[in-house]
Amino acid sequence: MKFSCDKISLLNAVNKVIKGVTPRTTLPILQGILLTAKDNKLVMYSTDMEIGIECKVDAEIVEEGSIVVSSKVFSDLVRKLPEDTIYFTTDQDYIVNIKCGLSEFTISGNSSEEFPDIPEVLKEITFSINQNVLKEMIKMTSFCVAQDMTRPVLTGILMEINKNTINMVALDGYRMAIKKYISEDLLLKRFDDFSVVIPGTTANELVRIMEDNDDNVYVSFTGNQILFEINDTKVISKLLDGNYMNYKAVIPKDFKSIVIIEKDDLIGAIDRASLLASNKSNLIKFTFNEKELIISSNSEKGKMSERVNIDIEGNLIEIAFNSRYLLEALRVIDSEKIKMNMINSINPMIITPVEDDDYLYMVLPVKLNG
Amino acid sequence: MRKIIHVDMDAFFASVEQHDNPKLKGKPVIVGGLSGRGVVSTCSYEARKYGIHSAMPMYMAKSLCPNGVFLPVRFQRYREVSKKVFDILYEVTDIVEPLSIDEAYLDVTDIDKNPEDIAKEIKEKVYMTTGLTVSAGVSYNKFLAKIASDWNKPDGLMVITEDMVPDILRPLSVSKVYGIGEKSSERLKKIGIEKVDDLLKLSEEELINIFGKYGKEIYDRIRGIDLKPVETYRETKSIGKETTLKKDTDDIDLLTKYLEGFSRTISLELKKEKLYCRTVTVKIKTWNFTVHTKSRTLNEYIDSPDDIYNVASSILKESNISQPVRLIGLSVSNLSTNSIKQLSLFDSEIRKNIKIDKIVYEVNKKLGGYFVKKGSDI
Repeated sequence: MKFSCDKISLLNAVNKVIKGVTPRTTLPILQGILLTAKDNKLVMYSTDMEIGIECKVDAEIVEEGSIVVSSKVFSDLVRKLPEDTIYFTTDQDYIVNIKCGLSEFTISGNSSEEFPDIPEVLKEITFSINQNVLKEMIKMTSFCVAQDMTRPVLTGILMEINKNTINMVALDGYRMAIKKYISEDLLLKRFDDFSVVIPGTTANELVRIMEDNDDNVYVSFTGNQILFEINDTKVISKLLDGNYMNYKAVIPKDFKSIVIIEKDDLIGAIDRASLLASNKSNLIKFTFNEKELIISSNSEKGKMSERVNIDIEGNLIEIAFNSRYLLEALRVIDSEKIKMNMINSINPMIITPVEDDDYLYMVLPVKLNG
Repeated sequence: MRKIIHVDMDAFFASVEQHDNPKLKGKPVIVGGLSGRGVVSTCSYEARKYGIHSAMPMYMAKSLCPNGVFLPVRFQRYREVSKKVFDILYEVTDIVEPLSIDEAYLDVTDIDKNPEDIAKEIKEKVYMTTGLTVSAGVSYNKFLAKIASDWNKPDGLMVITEDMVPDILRPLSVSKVYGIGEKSSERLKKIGIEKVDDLLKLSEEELINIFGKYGKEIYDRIRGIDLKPVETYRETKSIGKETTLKKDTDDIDLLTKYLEGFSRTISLELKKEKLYCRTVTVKIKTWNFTVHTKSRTLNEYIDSPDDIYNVASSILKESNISQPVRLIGLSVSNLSTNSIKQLSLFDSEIRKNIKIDKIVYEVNKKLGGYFVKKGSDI
């Protein structure tokens, strides 16, 4: 194999592909990156068998071929090379020679035979979406995926596609986030409604790989795989099996207490209350009167309370929460005011942004003694 | 110097049976699970001559002593008798630490009487009231009092005074020392330490090397220093239930069924004591008597049968049972009276609540008003 390419574009690609390498793996070969030189492109690929990341770079190919190089050594090396053209050759003993400017490196590689093939995802269903939109949808939901494996399907984000609407849902039993997106131009290859569950880890990797621009992401599925294509980068992931919970059935509708509050005031007060909440439960208490929400906490560290102005309709209740479950949601909501819909101290509370009908966060309270 | 008495009923369950049925007196009586896969709970001194001891599998006891009298456990009756005995102890002092149904420590330091006389009185009263004998040990700490009560069972009375220590302990097996269990004794045996005498030759550092932080306690204990107070209130530390199966099995569904039943029993017990638990432990003994335990500690306190069961069954699933199981057990620990509970959508109560609220909402919407109310809203 023999090729040359530009350092900057190679480094950009390496930085993306390296995210697919897991440091802990039972298969040592997976700590490498597969390099394939073909059709005037250098294709780089990494996988941990759950997610695969592929990135293409323009290259001048002298001799086609493929090799596996250590991800750590290769990425460090590329990062530190001068900004110049990189010349790359390998021999039959998998020895890799890299020349750039006045430096020359020789490192050992491995045969590509043992490396898993890049899976082909048949594009049965395809649509495209602005990558900033997708990034936002993931950020607004992924923090709710279940962390434990009791119900494996809940470690993923449910993506439902219904004509021109995409719903993303994540829930761990204690809270749930639903983000809706309506588009007039979802380019669907097939028009049936369908839903898949994307592993939470895949979604988070994707957020890190996506760039900050309005380029489209092309999304394709087959039976148990999903493929995201953003320009020259592909992310291929397994989907999670199993039936997702019927989440709509658990959203209450009939509220007894509806509160409108400034989001930043609320975040500040909860943040301060958390300082004195017990470490384990992060327990903070909400007490409402006609014009204020009183947020309080106490533990062996001390106690505090803070008042926040509100508009309230309905019953004046008392309700307690894990402050972390409130802060994580409030921090992803982009709205000056939010609405809190409650029933009583032992039923879920629904938070919605006043200026955004497309987001819903539901959190279950902490039940106090009795 | 403290004055501590340890009292221990002699072959308690078997003695109760022999007392209730005088025909059994002088005969080897073995009480325990009779299914053939059960184990011996207690056996009379006559039975001990055949080499039977508690915790021995019942089939083994039967083969050692085919003519023995094998009886099932009658907990209700033993509790009755135990209560009478404890009433006597509480007449002596309030500082009583019950260790089990038939064993307790008393701290009689503040009673202006010779502790040996107090022990004699207890023995007489117990015999008069229940017809049963009890062994008593008197000393100046809990460890030595227990060693003393064990000295000449049954119906024994032994006093260990300061000048007798540590010589009196020298011939004892190390397993008699509180804090040295079966595994530690085995380990000690491998390095040639079988008697307390051998143990006394080790330095404090050496003991700390062997036992970790408990090394110092053991070093002191065999030299007559044991400052543990008699605790009148023993906090419940765990609640559990286990059973030896009728037949060894690797049928996960069947084992899960047992866990379901245990979860219900444990949940009732928790609710009765107004306690919540955070740790769930599944115990499995395989056909070759190897014991495996696996625990999970949750972020929150639970007490419902469903919650306990869900954790227990997932522990069982993860333990990948490959060998036939002889015994299955479930216990909960990390108990608290604090019920701060993060509600979850998977709590059956929450789902029911939401469902009812929705029905009420839908009905009212159809009727066009607020006609249907929930009991809790009236």
